[in-house]
Amino acid sequence: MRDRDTFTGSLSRKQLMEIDACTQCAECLKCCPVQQVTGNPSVSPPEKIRMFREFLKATDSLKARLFGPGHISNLLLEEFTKAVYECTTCGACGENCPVGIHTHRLWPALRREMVRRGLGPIGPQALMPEATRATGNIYNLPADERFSPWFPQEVKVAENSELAYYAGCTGAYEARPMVRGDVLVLRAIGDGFTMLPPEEEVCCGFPLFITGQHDLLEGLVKRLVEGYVKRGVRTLICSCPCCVNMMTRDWPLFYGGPLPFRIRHISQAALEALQSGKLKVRTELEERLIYHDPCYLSRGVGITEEPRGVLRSIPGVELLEYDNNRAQSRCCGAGGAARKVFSENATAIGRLTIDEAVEKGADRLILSCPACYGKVNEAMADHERKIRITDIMELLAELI
Amino acid sequence: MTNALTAAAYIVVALFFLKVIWRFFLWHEAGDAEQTARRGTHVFVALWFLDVLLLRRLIATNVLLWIGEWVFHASLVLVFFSHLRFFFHPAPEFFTLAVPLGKVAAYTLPASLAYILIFRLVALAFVRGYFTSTYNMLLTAALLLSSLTGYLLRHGYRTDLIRVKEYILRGLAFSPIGFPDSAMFAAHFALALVVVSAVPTHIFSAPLTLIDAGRREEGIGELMHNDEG
Repeated sequence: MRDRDTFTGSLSRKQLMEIDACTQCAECLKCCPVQQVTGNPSVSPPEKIRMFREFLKATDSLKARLFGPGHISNLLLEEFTKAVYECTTCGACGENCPVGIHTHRLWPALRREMVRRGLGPIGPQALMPEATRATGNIYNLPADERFSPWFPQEVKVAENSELAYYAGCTGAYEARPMVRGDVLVLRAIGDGFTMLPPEEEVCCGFPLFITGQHDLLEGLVKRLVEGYVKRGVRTLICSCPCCVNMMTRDWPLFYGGPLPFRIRHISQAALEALQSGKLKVRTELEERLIYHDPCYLSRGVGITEEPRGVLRSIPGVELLEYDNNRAQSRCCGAGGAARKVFSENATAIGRLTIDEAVEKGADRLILSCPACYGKVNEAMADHERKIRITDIMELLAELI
Repeated sequence: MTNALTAAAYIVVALFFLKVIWRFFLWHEAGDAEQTARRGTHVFVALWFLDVLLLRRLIATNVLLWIGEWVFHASLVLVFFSHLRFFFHPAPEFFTLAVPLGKVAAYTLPASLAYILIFRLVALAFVRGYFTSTYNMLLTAALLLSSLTGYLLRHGYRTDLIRVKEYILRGLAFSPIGFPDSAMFAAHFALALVVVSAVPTHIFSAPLTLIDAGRREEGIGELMHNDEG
């Protein structure tokens, strides 16, 4: 980490190039969910980059290095911090960027820089590290409530196994039908699996990473990886797209090398089992389903077809598509740990997801992310349009 | 006034090179690029060519803007190469080969810039939530005026090209001579200096970020779909 006089301390070489590469064409605004509900260009991707360039100019230009840093107004710093934390980090802007800026990774890096300067995170996000330190999860809820309220009594977990399941904090505390569905599907596959005990299955680090608070990450990651290694795990299965993204992209960085096991999304395991005949759908479902691609699963790690494969394997199902699907999907509003801080935006974005599903004539909205599950259900609470919302594994568990 | 333009040219060009060198130094100073794509073999090279030569990613987001932008970028490259004959003596053969294409570009460059400006102004007026940066609009306007003066130098306000070339070559050798006696050339030259002083950083960095983007595009399918995990 370079010194505090520079704004490049948290950026990689590639990200510094990306800051330079933005042409300010504003094409990304068309797909930005925050823009769709606020219409406020001052929190748009090109505006964030323009402001950050001002900071770089003040601290890292040749003139600044020779004659001392220029003045940066507190107002601009505050505006930038708000803008960078109001973002859902969904990465749709990067997917549509004519110069290929990887915004999925750039915005968290800029947030990290704001944390380094004591300006971020915002509101309750600042409580996450202490809560994680105390309870192992950002919700500050006791570890003994992590599994017990939803874990099916009839499912037996092995002490050691080559296959492990990680429930994740949001699933375990806020989207329980989803993780219950995961476990029932894994039992039905029949390979046997292990899990870390509740006090050992701590946060994967994603909320801390995405809010730019990296201090605890190495410890969390090493603790989790070593826990799975002790149990002889070769494949770790998870359903939360944010956790999967964190495990795949960032765990090796914080662990200090390649992981000693592979990461799989639960839809991959389920589809393989359906195709091999280990898992059979026994009940027909005469419904039109619409599947919403979670940002961190589709744009993040490229999983778009397996969930569709699972849904198509259900007899009687007609699968509908959002206009923006797969890598172009629109955020549900929950991303980037912004849903509790910019709750109005998140609810408005969540309602766009509901509205389009209703307009398409879907009987049921299928989700595969605990954050989406929590947010879209919350957004529907006082909304005039209603649709049945089900997690993909929750649905599969009902039909097998 | 014309001596001031010569002095300004030295300052603008020196600042331009300093800016570029400093930019590369900052990139060098930054930490190593994080690995965002596990793999990336030959497909990304093809994607990179398409991205840079055809502005492929812009086609996907805005075809109407892409038409103007592609014609503009292609015309600018041709105009740049056809101008190189003023900077070398004797001019290499292939510079003169670029001249006929440069003649075409003399029409397409201002036309494409006018198209882009009009496109953005119309979008600003009629498309809800449309945003365009002031910097981009001013730079496009400066480029348009510069290209228009270039067009006028070719049609109607012809200047002594031998004198222009001598002025440039002597300037490059740091023994400047008097500015060519042409108000239109002075305007063209001054506008070109404005463009050089405001040249956007993406012309250096975008081709590099597109390398990673192509790798990422190719590699995302591998991220969770290989047996090694």
